[in-house]
Amino acid sequence: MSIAQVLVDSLLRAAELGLVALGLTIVYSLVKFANIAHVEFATVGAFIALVFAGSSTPSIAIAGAASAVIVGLLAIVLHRTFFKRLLRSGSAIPMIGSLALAIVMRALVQLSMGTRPSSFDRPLERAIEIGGAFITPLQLWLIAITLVTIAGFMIVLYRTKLGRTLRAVAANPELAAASGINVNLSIDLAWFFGAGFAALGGVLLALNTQASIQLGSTLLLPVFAVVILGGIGSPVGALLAAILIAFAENMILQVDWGSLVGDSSFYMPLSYDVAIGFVVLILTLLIRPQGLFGTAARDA
Amino acid sequence: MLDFLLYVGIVASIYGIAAISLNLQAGVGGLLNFGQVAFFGLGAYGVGIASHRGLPLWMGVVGGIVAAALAGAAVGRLGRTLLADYWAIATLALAELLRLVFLNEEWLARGADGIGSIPGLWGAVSGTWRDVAILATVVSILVVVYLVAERLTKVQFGRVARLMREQPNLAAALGYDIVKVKVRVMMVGAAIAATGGALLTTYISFIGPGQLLPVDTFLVWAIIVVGGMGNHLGVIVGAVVVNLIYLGTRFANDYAKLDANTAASLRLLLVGLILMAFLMFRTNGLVPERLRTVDADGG
Repeated sequence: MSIAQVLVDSLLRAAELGLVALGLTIVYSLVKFANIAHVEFATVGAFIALVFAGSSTPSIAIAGAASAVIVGLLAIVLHRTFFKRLLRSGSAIPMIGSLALAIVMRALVQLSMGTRPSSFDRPLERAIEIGGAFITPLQLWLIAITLVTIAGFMIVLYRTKLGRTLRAVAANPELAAASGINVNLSIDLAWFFGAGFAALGGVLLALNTQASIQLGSTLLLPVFAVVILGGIGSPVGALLAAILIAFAENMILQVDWGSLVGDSSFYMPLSYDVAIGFVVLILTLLIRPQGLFGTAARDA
Repeated sequence: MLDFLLYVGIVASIYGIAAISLNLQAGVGGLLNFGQVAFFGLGAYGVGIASHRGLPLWMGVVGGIVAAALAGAAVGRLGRTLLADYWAIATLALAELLRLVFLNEEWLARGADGIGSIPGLWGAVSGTWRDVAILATVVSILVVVYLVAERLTKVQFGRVARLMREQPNLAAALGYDIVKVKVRVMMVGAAIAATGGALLTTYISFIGPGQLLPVDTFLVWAIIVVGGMGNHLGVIVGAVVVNLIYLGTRFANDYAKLDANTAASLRLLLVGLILMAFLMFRTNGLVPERLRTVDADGG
């Protein structure tokens, strides 16, 4: 496997992980608990888009965008009816609640869509070659859409009044409320963007491969690895961590490790893929307990 | 019907053991272990591997319990560097990693095929009487586990664990080594869970990676929340209630005749909704934890 291909595949994987991880880190920074159900927003988003999408490119694009908005609104409803109440008893109860919600969401998707994976109705494309690596035009689009979405959100977060409000609530909700910021509205917005990005990530992933009931659960470990490695609540950290973990995954899976283990040829079994990110994370934290980007991850 | 009740009784007792284990970790110690299935699985695989290699089963049981306790110690130590929320996710990740190892490493325990025809308890007895004997055995072990857990919760071990749950900084300030407390709670919890796993494997004579899925961790969580976190007796009540619902709907499907996937989804949906409802409206469960107002003059 050429190193160029590893780089291209890593970039694609980073785009898949990046949007979902960015969504998780947004919600985590305002609503302080680890939402295990977050990745199920990706599954639900992919299937909602599948229901609405036709076979033309514009119809798929509209279905994807609509799906992100619907899932974003759904997350606001879930927060107001469910998580808000649970958050009164600390961060442990909402986390258990998110585990229950993840099971419920997966069961509902399975009941309405069945267990068989399904794909968007798109023609097969020929891959183009860039510097010895192969990539399809669709995959280039997926990377571009991810980059534009993330860049857009960064501009909102760091260059607008709305972004300043969100960051103020993340840093100190009491102080933000005291200075006249509508904290509840900010939290609603965080859920809307957070879940919407997860849904969009799910749609892009389903476009590249297929929508299946396991779409979200296979993302759970890599996405949490990215968010923790990048430092909770740090969108920039999450993006860098997504690139790092995507690269680690592709290196470990695609490189022939035969010479290291004294064999003629040795490849890591593919089904270890979901765990690689987390092993990288745990090894990093053993060496650098505060995570890559310095924020304190230490609280015995 | 009698066979079904015996079946529910046996499975509920085994899940009761796994739930008391999680209750010691999460209910008493406040440690959110989302990888409980891993400890259960180590006990189960201990018996499976012993049976596969032709070793005596007791060696498998002991091996599984020791392996689980060591894994518990390792996971407890991770708490040194990880924030509580991260730690919870790490437990989930490590449990998945263990499942992937059993799935991929064919030499270890036959990979995806799993290990079957594992000899059960009371092989000399046949028919319904055998199930009665198995039920008596697992209930006795459940009672022993319950008494041990109650005792541990009342003595210094439990007091420090509860202090760690409510006021970790105070516990540290009072000179308790939080990591050491975590390691001890996790080791004891893991060993109890492995006992439950070993019992389940001898009962259903099979172990494979499909039994290490996070769904089983979810069921154990549902049991302790429905029963009452922190109350070991409540957790046993929870094990009976949740298993009656979970297995009872399987029984009902003999009449409803839904296809297997739909029925499985409906069952999980039902238990998931019940867990959500309890978290919202009755967070302390059916039998809430009783805390003494004065907890300082010995127990």
